[in-house]
Amino acid sequence: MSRIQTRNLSYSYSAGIQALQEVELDLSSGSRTALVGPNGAGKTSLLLALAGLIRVSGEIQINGTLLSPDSVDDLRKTMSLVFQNPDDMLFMPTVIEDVCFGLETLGLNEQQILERGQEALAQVELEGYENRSAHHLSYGERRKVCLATCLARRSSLVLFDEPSRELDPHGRRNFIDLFQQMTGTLVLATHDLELVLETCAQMVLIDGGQVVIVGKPKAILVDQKLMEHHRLEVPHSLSRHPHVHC
Amino acid sequence: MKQAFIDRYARLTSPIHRLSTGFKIKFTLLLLALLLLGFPLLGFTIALPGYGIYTFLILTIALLSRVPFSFLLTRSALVLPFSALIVVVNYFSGNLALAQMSETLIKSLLSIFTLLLLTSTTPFHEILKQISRWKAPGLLVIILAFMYRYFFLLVAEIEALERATKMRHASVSGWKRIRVYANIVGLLLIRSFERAEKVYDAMRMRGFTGDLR
Repeated sequence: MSRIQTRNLSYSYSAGIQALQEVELDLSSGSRTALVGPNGAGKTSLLLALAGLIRVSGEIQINGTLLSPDSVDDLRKTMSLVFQNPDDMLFMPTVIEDVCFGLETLGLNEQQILERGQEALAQVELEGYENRSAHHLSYGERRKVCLATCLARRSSLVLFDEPSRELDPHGRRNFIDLFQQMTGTLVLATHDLELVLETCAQMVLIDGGQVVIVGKPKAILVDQKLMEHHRLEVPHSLSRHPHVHC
Repeated sequence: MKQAFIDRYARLTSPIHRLSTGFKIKFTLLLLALLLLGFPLLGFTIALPGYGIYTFLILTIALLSRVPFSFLLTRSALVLPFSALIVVVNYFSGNLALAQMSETLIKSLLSIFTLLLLTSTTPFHEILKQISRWKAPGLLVIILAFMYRYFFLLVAEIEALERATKMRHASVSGWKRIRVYANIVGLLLIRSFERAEKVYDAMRMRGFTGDLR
């Protein structure tokens, strides 16, 4: 399991827009943390920074190892990132090849790779899909294959970018069940506040690239003023006055 | 969304579909070699009988494979504008005589028809697996895999943009219409670059450092 510590993390896009501003975080190993914030808050940038996919100023330590160009390849062996759009992740001709892609870098032989791949597919209930092409699958199934790629790697740190986006209620429930079974440090960036309440013990509210507050989801999400100030809303299950849509 | 798969009919059942992938690839390569190089070697001084026999052969295979003729013919015809352009350019630059022009067009049409027969009777990933087993360069295999994977997405994006355009610019015509389509092409190019970046990120996350197995 991986502990994540960031210090003075800042990042700006080439257009000069500040995506992250002096982000300080300490996520303990085995924790389940949700990054919540309005559009453009910096959630995805933070995930990309933690994955070492964008160059940021400041420090990121994963399990005490400083994330740097020299250490990033080794650190990536212990982490996975589930992208927002499954089509960005699934590029091999068949499902099993996609799930097994890159497993040889973990020092596994061909037999072990295949076993891991099949085991991961079984975990996401996609047995028998090995030789199918990803683009023949439904959106929900493609999301499951993405999840299987992470499960096959047995990563100690998994980063999810909008994992419940565009999933139907059954697909979303399926994701929650799988998420609950996963071990390791899990970080998810999402707008799905009910998902946060159900799955995460910790929440980071982020806006304008800055960390606003870190705490228990229920305690933060129930604060209507805070939510409205950051272009969010109190989730329906916590709201004393449910939102009525006419 | 239209199902614009290259191997749309590859999962039919027919005697041709049941043949081994390796055999089908070898046979296709043999046919193409025969078409492009082989007729003079077999003693055909006039190419016409050769083309006749070749056409009969591939039509028989097509019939046995149960792949609709309309699909094979329309897809084969797609290559004609490109072949025609090459032929015309070569004619005006003095590289081709008038008689050779029609022969080049026939050859290109028959070549594509032959390749379509292969991809319509064999799932594309089986072809990739087979050429990998034959030690084809990994880079070539992965480029082909990406082309297959993302061609579908590209078509889907073109359709979505076309629909969005129609909804808002139904009455646009002439130069304005050309401008709109030029913008779509530009947008597709940008989106393709962005997707390429994301796919590369996804590959790096799974340990890809530039080497292919």
